[in-house]
Amino acid sequence: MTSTTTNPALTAALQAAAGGDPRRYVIIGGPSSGKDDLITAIHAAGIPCMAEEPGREIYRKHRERLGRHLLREDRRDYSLEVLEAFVAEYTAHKHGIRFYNRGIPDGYGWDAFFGLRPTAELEEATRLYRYDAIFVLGPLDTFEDPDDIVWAKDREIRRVHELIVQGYYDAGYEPVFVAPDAAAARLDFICSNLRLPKPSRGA
Amino acid sequence: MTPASADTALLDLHGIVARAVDPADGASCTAALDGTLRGLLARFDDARYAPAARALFGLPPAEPGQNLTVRRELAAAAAGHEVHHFRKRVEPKLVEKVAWELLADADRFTRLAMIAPRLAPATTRQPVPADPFAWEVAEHEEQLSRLWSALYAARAELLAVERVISLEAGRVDITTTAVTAAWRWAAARAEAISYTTAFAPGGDTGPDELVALAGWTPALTAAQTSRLTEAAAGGASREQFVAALHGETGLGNAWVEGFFARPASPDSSIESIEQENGSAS
Repeated sequence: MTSTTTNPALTAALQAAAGGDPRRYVIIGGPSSGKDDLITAIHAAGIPCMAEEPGREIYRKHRERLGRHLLREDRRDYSLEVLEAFVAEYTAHKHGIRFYNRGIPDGYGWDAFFGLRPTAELEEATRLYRYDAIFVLGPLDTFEDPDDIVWAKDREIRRVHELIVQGYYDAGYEPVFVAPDAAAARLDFICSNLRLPKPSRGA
Repeated sequence: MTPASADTALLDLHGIVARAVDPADGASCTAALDGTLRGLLARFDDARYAPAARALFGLPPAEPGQNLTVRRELAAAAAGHEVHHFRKRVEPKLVEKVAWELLADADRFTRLAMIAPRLAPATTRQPVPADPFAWEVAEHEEQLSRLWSALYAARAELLAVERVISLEAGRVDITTTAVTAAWRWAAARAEAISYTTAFAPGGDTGPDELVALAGWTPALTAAQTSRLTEAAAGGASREQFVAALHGETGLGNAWVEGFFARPASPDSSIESIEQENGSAS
């Protein structure tokens, strides 16, 4: 991906880290959290980052194969395939900094959402493959309209998001919460937290 | 947070039970409470008092193992207050705010299966983002809407039967309305089975509990109930439903005659005695 950053300090920091030990940072957040915008901003700043979460394509594939909604009994296969993809993403990275669009412990939240206990494979992967920091994006809206009506769909999104956050606590992480803001400001906050130069400083 | 120090009222909150890997295990619920509190405190939205709230609950600037007196001193210093003033005036408000956040969180985890989705005029389009999160919940709301539309349709027809009976309509009218109610009720049951199979397997709410919300229906055997449900499944029209049950006289009679029977009431035994004695007019 072509870098659009004009911050030489950040570029230098990324280059300095590139030959060293791998540093893996996870971004999590529901659909209304601005995660896609942040991932785009990370790419634009020239920071190595996973392009698309593997769950989307695997979900489409399972849905197509089954010809219907995934039922509880279908979940195990789906979850294990997603886990395998996350592990492959993790192990493929050997040096330097890389951001991830969701991470292995997301599986805890999904399992809980569907009333399943975490698989032994997930427990094992969580123990073996550790990330260096977890960033949780808060929702950009409050999910409430002026009449204080909370849509069932939005409540469910919030519910599964909270379960995923809990999954990271269960996995022994202390997530960093990123307040609602513009993508550039959020990326600045994340970089500051990681002691990296702020991308916006060079703009 | 340790199992011994966690209040059971907190451990029973919907949000805690839902987050626990094993809701029946105290240690698992305690871990969920710990994670929930850490999450709430990490997102404490009052910038001035956030460090104080965190310290009060044992997060940095406090350290694990410090007692309340030490944590309170750290919290007061973080908020820029004298410790006694903090304890009397500020601390109760911070605790109240955390408690409110916990209750709001619990509310988000309340089971929704028995609650019809609330509707409001849509002023803007609501696109579904390309995200398994959003696909799953959008599909859930689709099914939930289908379920409740079927339940309300059944309710409407069951009410219509009672209304025509009350109006002392002719037997043909009552029978026709009762058949329509059977079709709608059976379709609702089919929808409830479909919903609970996909979204609430093994949950507290089964298809019969859901369909009971539509209203009273005549007593049927399990086989008759299944037969009705089969005839209405798959979006069958009223005509298809009636054709599928052609010749099922026993089932038809059980349903229709159930409505013609006098409703049971607390004083029905008195009425029957009076009728037997010939005193009822």
